[in-house]
Amino acid sequence: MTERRLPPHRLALIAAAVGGIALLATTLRWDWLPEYREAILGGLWLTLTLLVTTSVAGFLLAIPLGLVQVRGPRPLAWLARGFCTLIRGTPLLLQVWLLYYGLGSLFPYLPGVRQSWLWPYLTDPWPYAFLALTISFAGYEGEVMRGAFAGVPKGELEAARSLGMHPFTILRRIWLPRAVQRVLPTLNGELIIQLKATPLVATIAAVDAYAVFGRIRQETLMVYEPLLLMALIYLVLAGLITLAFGALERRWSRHSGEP
Amino acid sequence: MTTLHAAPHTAADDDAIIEIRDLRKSFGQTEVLKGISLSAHRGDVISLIGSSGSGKSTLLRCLNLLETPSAGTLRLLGEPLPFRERGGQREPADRRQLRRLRARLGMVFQGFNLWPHLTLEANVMEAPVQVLGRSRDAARAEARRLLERVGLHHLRDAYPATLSGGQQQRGAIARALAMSPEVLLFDEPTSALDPELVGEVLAVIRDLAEEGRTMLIVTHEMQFAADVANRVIFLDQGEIAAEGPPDQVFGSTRTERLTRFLGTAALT
Repeated sequence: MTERRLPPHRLALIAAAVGGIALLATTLRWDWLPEYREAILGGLWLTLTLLVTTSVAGFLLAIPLGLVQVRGPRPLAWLARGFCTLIRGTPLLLQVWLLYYGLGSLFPYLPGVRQSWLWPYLTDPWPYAFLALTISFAGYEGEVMRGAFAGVPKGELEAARSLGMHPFTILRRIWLPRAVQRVLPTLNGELIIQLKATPLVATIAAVDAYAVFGRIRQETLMVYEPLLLMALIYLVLAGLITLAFGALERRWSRHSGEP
Repeated sequence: MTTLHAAPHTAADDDAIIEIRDLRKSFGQTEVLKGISLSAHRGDVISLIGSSGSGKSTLLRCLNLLETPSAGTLRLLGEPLPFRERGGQREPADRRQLRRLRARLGMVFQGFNLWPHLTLEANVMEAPVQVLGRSRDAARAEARRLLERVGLHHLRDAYPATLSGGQQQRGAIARALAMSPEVLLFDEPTSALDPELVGEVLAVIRDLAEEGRTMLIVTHEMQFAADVANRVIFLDQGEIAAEGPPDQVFGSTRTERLTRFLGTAALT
């Protein structure tokens, strides 16, 4: 198992990282941490919940968005392309604000909405945050899935058709798994981008990890320590995503027969 | 009582397992098939030969509707296959009938087209489970029997990307056989193979022919076409230029066009 042994330059990097962290831990002020522990965990929870739910929902939307662009029918293909272009061509911050301040301020004028069971949710920022991040992810991944569906060799689908498979069976058993297999490396990067897009929800008063550290900075008047911890947290989350995808790719893409 | 109105299909050859009349296929302005009529009976082994671009692959792909003919009539396994126009496109009128018929026609492709995300065994099991509704256990047992038959039993857990071309093609033949098809269509099954791998695939096909299976084979292997078939069809520029038993087509009465083609194809 010689390939498992760490090469010298890696060891040096690890030593430097450990040294750096030790230096930061001893020279900077961390006494505020216990007080804000709960708040940080709460913010982290919202960040993670948003990341997972919006990327799952967005990806589920991206499948039909990509599929109709490759397969038609043509009016739906145009609609899907228009949606992807619109979402990808405008800032996410604008989308968040349009939904929260635009859509959110229209609801009170609808008759009966204030009395309905939905009202408490509609005054919360998180449904708008969820919606904005979901359609954003769907817009980007719809384009990615279009390419992935188009890239599955035609012969593999013809073989399925020649055996009498129903189009839906072909999609479920052959086309979609093959498209997802091709898209895994891209998806890894897209998820990390989605993670780093979540702080935008802090601008509509959703208290995610970023918002919590903003509050800490205001209350403690400290500059670097909260920012450093925040950076570390996002770095670790991104690292975990990459590790998870590494494992997925080893399981799934090994046999794709593509370079 | 004599009938005054003869049903349109009385002219048809009722024993035929595949019958096409005046089949035409155009891609844009180019007419690739210019009125092909042929019928295949149970137990026939028909070799389709001709130069590249003669339309023989297109003809084969029309038989299970991977290409939709532009004109002509088609009877598969005794059933007429109606077409309809939709959005300016001609297409099979009854998709369910099409799927049912396709399940009974096996196709083997030039490029193998095994599914890379499934093991060899799973490739062979897939259609029986998903299309015929077989249990996984029954399908697995059948898949192993078929893989044994094409000499790949020991590789059943391998993924296609790890196999040689010859092994992949033999696996693809097993996948087609798993549906117990009544007709097997081979679309240049050895053209994508390295020369040293051609023999193992031809041996499997020859074996199937000797078993009395109905087969249509598009091939460039002239010797094989002559050996294995009871009928040879020579296509030239989208038309049937010669047709008959191999010794007659390849024999002394061969047409000028065929002689020219065989001259370039080198009958080995």
